[in-house]
Amino acid sequence: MKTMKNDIKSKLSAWLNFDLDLDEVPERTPPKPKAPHRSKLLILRRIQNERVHRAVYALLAVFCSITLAACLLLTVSGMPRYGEDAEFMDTVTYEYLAHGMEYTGVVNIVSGIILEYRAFDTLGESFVLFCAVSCVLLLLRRDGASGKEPPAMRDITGDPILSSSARILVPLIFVFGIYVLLNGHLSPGGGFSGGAVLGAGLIIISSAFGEDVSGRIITERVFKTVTTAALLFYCVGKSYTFFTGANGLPTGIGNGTPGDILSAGLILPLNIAVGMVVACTVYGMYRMFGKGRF
Amino acid sequence: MSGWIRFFISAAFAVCGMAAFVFAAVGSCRFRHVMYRMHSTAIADTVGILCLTLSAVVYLGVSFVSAKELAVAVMMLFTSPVSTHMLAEIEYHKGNYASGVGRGKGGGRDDG
Amino acid sequence: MTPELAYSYLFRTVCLFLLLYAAVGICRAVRGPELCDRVLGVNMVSSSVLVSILTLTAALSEPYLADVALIYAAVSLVSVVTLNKVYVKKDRGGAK
Repeated sequence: MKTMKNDIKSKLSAWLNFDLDLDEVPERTPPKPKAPHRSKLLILRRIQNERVHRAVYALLAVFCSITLAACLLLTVSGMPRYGEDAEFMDTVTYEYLAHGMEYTGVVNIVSGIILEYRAFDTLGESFVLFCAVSCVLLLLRRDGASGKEPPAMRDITGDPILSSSARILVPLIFVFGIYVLLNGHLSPGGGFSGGAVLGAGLIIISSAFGEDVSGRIITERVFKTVTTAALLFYCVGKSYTFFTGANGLPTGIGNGTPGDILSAGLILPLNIAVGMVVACTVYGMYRMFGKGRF
Repeated sequence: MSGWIRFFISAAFAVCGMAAFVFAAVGSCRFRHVMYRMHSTAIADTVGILCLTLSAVVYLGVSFVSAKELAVAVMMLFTSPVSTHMLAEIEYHKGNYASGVGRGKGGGRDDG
Repeated sequence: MTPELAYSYLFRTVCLFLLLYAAVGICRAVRGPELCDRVLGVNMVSSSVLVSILTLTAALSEPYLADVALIYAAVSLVSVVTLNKVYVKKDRGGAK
């Protein structure tokens, strides 16, 4: 009787894929398959045929690429020919050099051009850096479950010479990096070079002190938060000044006297934002190429 | 006259620095083992840079710029031995010892 | 012959000499049979460039070039340390 009950129970369990009886030890039960994640079920239900999916993806990709290429070519065809409007371009250069300082408030006119007159191009460059490090993250990231041995990068936590030198050098490098970053509008420097020095300091920390120390300073979450926040701040700030400039309104951010540290409007915060993106990019590429994870 | 004294002090430092660079260049060409060549360029990185920086500092006088130049020279004094140590460790782990004692490949490698 | 003219000759000689040192460095990088010879060549070129920038801050009276020289010094250290991390494979000794 008991075996017949067990038999029925086991057959029912096999049919329902569910363990009916938990206190009685069943004689034979089929292994319980893991239920797939809910999002996977939705996707599986939506895309029944993989070939159709691939064909649709390919068609969409070709269409998007051709549309984008057509738009860009149309824009370029409207530009003047080579050598035309040369006198006009000379007046633009003269305007930058003669009136740049009183208009933007910077002493270093290169910073004034890249962050005030041509701020949109600099935003594009920051986006390029962000995309590069995102692609590297996508391609080289190593999950914990893959189980493969990471590439042979040795751990020099125990190297006393490098550790002792780095203990003195790293604060100095960081202070120097911040100095170069904050001096973008006064002397040659700015976001890109300051960010590169900060990234070099982070690389030295990671090489000299090992992963536990560098993991306390910058993790993947810190990296993502910092880059996204910096780029968003750049977008919002510069959109505000574009909007007020196009409509002839005053921005409310004074230019100050050239030569002061707090001058030149929004250039100092924008330099800081660009520097953060560059530092995170440099360090992120180093970690991704070396360890496969942050 | 003080202009000329300053010039001769600066020139003396510059000649010392250039002599250090000459020794480093000759040493990096003539030694037969990579460890010796490595230690020879360290002369240029420390003494050479320090002497040439002092020559520029004597020209500039006491100012913020000369302090920054001295900071660069001191930083190279700090970091160049660490660089040499890192390079020597690469060669050590390849088994390329200078004396061939122990598990080396026997007396170091000649490159001819 | 004023001191200014003499200074300009001195700095010019120093810069040309450092160019020769950089050329020796490139020779070492091309000829060297070992790996470290080539890294040493890069190190020599970077030292030569560093000192010529320092000499030029004095010769041209441009104070911002000292910052550039400091950046070069930091970058040369970072490059050698990273190369060491890549090429030396050692026991991790239990550390992760």
